[in-house]
Amino acid sequence: MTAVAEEAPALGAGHDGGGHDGAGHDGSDHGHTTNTGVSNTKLAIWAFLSSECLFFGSFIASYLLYRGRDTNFQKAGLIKTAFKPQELFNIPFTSATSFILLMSSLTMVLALAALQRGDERRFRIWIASTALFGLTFISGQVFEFTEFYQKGLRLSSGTFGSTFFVMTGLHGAHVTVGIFWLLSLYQRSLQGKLGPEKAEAVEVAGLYWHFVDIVWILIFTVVYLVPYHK
Amino acid sequence: MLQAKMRRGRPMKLKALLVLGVVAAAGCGASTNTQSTFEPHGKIARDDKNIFMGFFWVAAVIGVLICLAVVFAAIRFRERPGNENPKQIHGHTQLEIAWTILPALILTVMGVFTVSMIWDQAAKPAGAMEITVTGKQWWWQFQYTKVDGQTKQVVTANELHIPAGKPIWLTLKSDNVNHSFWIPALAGKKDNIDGHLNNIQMIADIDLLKQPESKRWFDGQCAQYCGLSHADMRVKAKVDTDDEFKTWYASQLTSWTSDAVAKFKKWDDIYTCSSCHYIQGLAKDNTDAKVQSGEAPVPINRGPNLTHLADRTSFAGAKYALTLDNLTQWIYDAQAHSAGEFGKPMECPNYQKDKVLCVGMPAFKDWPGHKMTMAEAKEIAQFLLDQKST
Amino acid sequence: MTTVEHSAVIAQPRPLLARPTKTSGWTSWFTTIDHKKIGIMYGATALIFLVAGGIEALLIRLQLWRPNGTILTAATYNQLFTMHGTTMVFLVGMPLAVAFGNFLVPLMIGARDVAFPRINMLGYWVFLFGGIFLYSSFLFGSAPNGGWFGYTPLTSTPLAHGFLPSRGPDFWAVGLIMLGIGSVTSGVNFIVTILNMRAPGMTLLRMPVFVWMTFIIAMLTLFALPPVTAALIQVYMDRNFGTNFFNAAQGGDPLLYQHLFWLFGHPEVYILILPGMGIVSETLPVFSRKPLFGARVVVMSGIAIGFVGWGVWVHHMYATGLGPATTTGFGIATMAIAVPTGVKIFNWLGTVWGGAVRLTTSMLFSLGFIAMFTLGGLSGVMHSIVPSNAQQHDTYFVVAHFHYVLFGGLVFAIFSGFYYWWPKAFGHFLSEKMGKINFWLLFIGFNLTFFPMHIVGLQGMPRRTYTYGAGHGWELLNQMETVGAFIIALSVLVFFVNVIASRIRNDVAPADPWDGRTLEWSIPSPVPAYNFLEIPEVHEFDDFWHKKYTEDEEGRLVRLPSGGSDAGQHEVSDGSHIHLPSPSYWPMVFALGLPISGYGFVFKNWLLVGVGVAVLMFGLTAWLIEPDTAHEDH
Repeated sequence: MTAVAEEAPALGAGHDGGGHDGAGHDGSDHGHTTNTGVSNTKLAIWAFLSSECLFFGSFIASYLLYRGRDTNFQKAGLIKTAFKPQELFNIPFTSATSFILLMSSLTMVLALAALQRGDERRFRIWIASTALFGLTFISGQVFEFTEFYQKGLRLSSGTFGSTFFVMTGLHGAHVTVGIFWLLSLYQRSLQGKLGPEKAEAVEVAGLYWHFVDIVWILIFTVVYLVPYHK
Repeated sequence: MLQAKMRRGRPMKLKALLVLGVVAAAGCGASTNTQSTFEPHGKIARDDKNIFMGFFWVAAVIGVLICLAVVFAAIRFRERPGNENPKQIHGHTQLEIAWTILPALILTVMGVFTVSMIWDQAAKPAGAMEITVTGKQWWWQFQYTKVDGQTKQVVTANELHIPAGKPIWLTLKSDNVNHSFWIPALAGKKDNIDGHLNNIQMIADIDLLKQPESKRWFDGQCAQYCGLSHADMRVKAKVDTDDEFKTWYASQLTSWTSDAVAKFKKWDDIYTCSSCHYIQGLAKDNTDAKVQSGEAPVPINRGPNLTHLADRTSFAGAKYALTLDNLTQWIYDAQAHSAGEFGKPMECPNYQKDKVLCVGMPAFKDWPGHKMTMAEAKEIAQFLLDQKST
Repeated sequence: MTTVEHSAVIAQPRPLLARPTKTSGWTSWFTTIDHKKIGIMYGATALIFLVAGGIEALLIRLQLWRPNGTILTAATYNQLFTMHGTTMVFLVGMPLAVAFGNFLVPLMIGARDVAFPRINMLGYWVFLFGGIFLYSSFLFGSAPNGGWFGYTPLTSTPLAHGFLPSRGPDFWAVGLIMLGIGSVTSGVNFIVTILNMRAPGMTLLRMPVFVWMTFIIAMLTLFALPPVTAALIQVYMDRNFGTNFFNAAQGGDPLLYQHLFWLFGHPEVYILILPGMGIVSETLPVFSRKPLFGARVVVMSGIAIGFVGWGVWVHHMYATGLGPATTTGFGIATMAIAVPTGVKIFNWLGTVWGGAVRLTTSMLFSLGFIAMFTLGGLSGVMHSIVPSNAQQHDTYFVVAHFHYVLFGGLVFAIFSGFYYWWPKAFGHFLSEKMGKINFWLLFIGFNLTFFPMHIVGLQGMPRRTYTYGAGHGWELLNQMETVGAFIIALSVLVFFVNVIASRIRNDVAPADPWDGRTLEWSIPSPVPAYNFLEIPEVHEFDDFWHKKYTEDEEGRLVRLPSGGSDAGQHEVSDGSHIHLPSPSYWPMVFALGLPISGYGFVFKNWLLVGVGVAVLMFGLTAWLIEPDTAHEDH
């Protein structure tokens, strides 16, 4: 929930669009220019995402600090059981869901391009695909969590259980928020309230979505791909 | 007097006075403060003080000059007829460079001294006596792991004995929350952190041997917030002559007589003292040998080693003087005399079953099944005090 | 309104409630999105929390009046020092910075409002609710008691293990996460506002130094809060879900927390002090009638502090045994940060030097700031001497040091700011006579309280101790400190009396009462809702000043005959043609969801968490579909 709440302000900013809240600057001039040439909303989402980098950075750093520690502790006789991540992971499966998440970035780009062209129907197709791909990824994560749980991995299983579940869980929460965001864009488009002139609202959501994807590439590499010592 | 100064609008003088005050307090510190960094009695503490005082004077001069400059500027350049429109100075490159470089130079000098001392203090002295210090909630455990090639370990609590002039290498650890071991007169502090082993060098001045025994006691205190009774977690250090130390060390390895063990057993059966306190001679199986070889099993470490309690001068985190009356009160109702329950609940075997009573050092007056009487408490206290070995 | 815009409004979804329109009267404060009103609300709320934190401090001082004091129990004392620290940092220091930033930044850069007025409003309500949430813990007997720094494993060990006998750390962790959300939103808002909404001609180097400092703290906020948020989530998970982030028995490392916390905690120190530096960089030139000496250098050193501030966090951790190489590196970085700080002090002195100094209350506080901050800075440099730090760490010496920096520094600057900008905010002066009593009492009380702490710390008295034994010679110094604390309280009381008395007396202030240098003085006092009738065009640093004055060949000040000191008064228009966005209910509703979820998290009541999220989502949805302007406007 904390992660969800963190997002909310950026969400708000995204939907608002520079034209609304930004109106505070000069209400009589909706299409005002800014000093930097970047719209307020876009600058805000960049600032927010840079902040998010450190948020995930902290969890990734925690994971790296504890990586492989359980096995060492078990060898030293300090803890009884240690889960070996390489034995839990189903790399082909997670690679597939990761690939789907990556593809969703592509469809996101296509959605934006479609809207900028004024092709609202294509926009809706692409944005729905993006959300669907995101949903597929989340389903994969739910399946994976269930699988690990059945194999006995808990939040309290050494440091691996703690860092793995909390980090990937928070990432999953971010993806979930993103899906809701995409769906709300889809709905606005259905109502005819998301024309090409509002493309920036989509662009901002896209920035968030790409960011979440990039974070996953990092997590996937650090957690799944880099081999663990036996 | 302060008021008069205020009215003349020269407040900064007040600060100059106070600065002098700190020096005066440092200078005339020849009082009886056995916990002061101003009165070092060990090499590390003296080095710490010297490097501090050196740069204190530099800082004091800079501080006083800047404060005086503020006061001077405020008075000298006060708006008066004729100077309403002062010369507009926007900056001065040479000045900027100067006051960037000058402090940098001073800091460089400071850095050189600091860095060499950091490495100096981090090194383990050759042939050092080794002692492991464990921070508990809220008392200190000392294990003498290496003393002149001796392998038998002495385990004691709250009062550290060290020989004068000999290098000591303390290993700090914790099996619970963070603590920080600090005896200001001997050495600076370092934290006890679960999962980490930290070290402190400590060398007590050989000059101390000229002092009578009573002047060789120093006080310390836990410096890292560790929960409810943090302020009560104190520690004492006694600097011994070689002979004193040898005698003390040997005495700590002895057991209670079998008579004493038999007598205590009847209380132990009721109040389960030995489930948290180690008593040499009373413990079952191989425990005594294990303790002396350093593999002390956890449960007997819950509370301080009671075998040689009588040889100490204080108890309960060195907060209370070890007198019959104090000890009686403590045994009878420890919780009335401490900020919280001494010891931590998670280690108390009956905690889950009986949350009310068995928490840390219990109030034995309410012991289930057999409420302790004051007379009984006094008898136990007297018995413990009788087990003096030196 | 043009027809195009009108149709755009109609195209909006139907709002849940019509947007509120009232912009005056007491109810308007609940819905306002005006940056000035929000700034004032931040300030007022922070002052209320200042009183709460102050009362905690007084109780602490009463307990320490004599050895083995019995006024407070250890349990209560630990709650009070925890809440004192938490309050002063998160509920007083940071919000006061946001208060000044909110009120001043748009005025100083020539904007009509901040970039996101409703998100700005959200930030305030999150702060208020977060503060109330934290304080409500007293009602549950669960006030935080693990210290404002909340070191693990003391705070992170599950309740059942009883290291800390209450849900205090849960309230603390959840409350700070909540306040962090508010801070990040205001940080984003400041960054966008400052980068994007400057008046024409106001380049970055023509911005007032206060705006620069606000920009730097916004950047620091943005990057400093995520690590601590992560650490607090880990603490919460460890306590409530059995994770092992800080449980050494299962492989966790308590020191990880300290790194994450101080990675936030040290930049936080600069978040707290830079606004103070910004304020005196505005007041000193005005009351010396000289430009800020080396203005660019002051800005650059502020940026340098902002950067190096990221490389010094370990100096809070010298005692944790990180090894000589690490402590050497961070020791040197800590010494290095003293250089730009020193440069600032010298430049402020250079500003006053040779000027025409008016010793107003505001100026006294600013001069007091330079002196007190210098002393705090010097004792800070001494901490970089790692070996002697081992003697000072966690003693009252450190307490003295950071109170000199944050009280002698920040609070003095804040008071200077109050006396300086009060006329701009409220249209009347604060009494100078009472102001001077305010200053001298604070100056005496402050030094009497905190100077002896240097000595008592070096004499071996540790911090965070609810009691101390007799016989160490600490008694007299502790008594001085307690007396001093009550003098400080008296001084703050004088300030509040001054606020009320001045309001009643209503000594009306003109637009430019101090002969100011920055744009906010070019518009009427109090500032109208739209700020500027016409967005000004800026040609140089201290633009407004240069409209009033020029320099002769010798660099002396010459008043221009057509000086615009009463600019804004000429205006005939009432500004009613300027379209401003309407107030809103929804950011407050959104914010209300957070503490509701917060209680759910603390008491592990997932239904309540759900209710909170629902309220939050409701507020968010209503916010997103509400139109730009109330329909009544058209």
